[in-house]
Amino acid sequence: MNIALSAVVIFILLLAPIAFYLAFAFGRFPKAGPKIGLLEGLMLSAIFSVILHTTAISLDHLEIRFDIIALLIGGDLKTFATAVTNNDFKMQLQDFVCYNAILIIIAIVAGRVLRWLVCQFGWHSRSELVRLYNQWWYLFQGYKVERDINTGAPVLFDMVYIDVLVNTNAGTMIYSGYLIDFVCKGEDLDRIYLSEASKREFKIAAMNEKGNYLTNKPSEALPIDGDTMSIPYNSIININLHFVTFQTDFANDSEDSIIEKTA
Amino acid sequence: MTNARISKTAQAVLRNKALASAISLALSTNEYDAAKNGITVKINGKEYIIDIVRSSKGTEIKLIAKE
Repeated sequence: MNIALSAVVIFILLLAPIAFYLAFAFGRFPKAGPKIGLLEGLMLSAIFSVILHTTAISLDHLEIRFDIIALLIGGDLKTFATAVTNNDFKMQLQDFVCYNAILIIIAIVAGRVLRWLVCQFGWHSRSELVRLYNQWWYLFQGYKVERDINTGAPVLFDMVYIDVLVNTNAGTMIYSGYLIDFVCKGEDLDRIYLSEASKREFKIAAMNEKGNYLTNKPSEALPIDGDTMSIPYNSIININLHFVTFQTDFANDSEDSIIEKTA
Repeated sequence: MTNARISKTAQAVLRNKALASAISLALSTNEYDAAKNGITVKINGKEYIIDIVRSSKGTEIKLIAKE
């Protein structure tokens, strides 16, 4: 009994729904995949595979040698020589490879087309089933703003200004700056990059007749020299975002004239 | 290539370090009315106050020419 051969045949038959899912989910900042085990994944893929292949063969009116497929999947090849000749098997194998290749290509194209439709109509931000990106991406792109949260559309803004509360050896500090980039690992934020960063103490020390105490008022902002500041997420306590819009003075001008004006 | 959304207007602001720094400082002050704190920026020899307004549209920034 040849188990390896039957495993290869079954895997080939499962490829089309897997290709569809990967084509749909592939992109930057993808959401985490479904949390299911290997066995559940294979079973789920087998169900979709059966539906897909049944649909495909109902459209194809050529003869399908199920007896050969059953022999290969069963792995018992003792009767193989009587069931099919070499030449016949060659033709059947070519047809099988061609059928699966076409099905996989169609699955990939269908997956990408569905992803495009989901993006075009903004379904990804309204339905968890077709959500494409991780939650941080939606936060930084302006999808998590109260006034527009139910519309599924992002707020309009020019850039994000961020205040982050960070635990340092010197105490809790607020770092602020323009968000110029961020890195995620799966669903988790790994680090953020700020430009024109400044820092403030979260609470400033004050003194009264009873002695020193910390007030609930941050200190004055101190600009930090340098072009880009990287802050790892594991040292961040919380993040406050400002979706900044530059008003008419900037928006009505072309990019070149703004540069000229501000130079 | 960046993953954060930065419009062309914002890119133009970021290219001018002095302006970007002044707006950043204004945004990081405790009060949103930066004009009260006197945060000004000089463009072509003319002084402007950075005006920050919190509205239903978000955080709006404009430059007001100083008389």
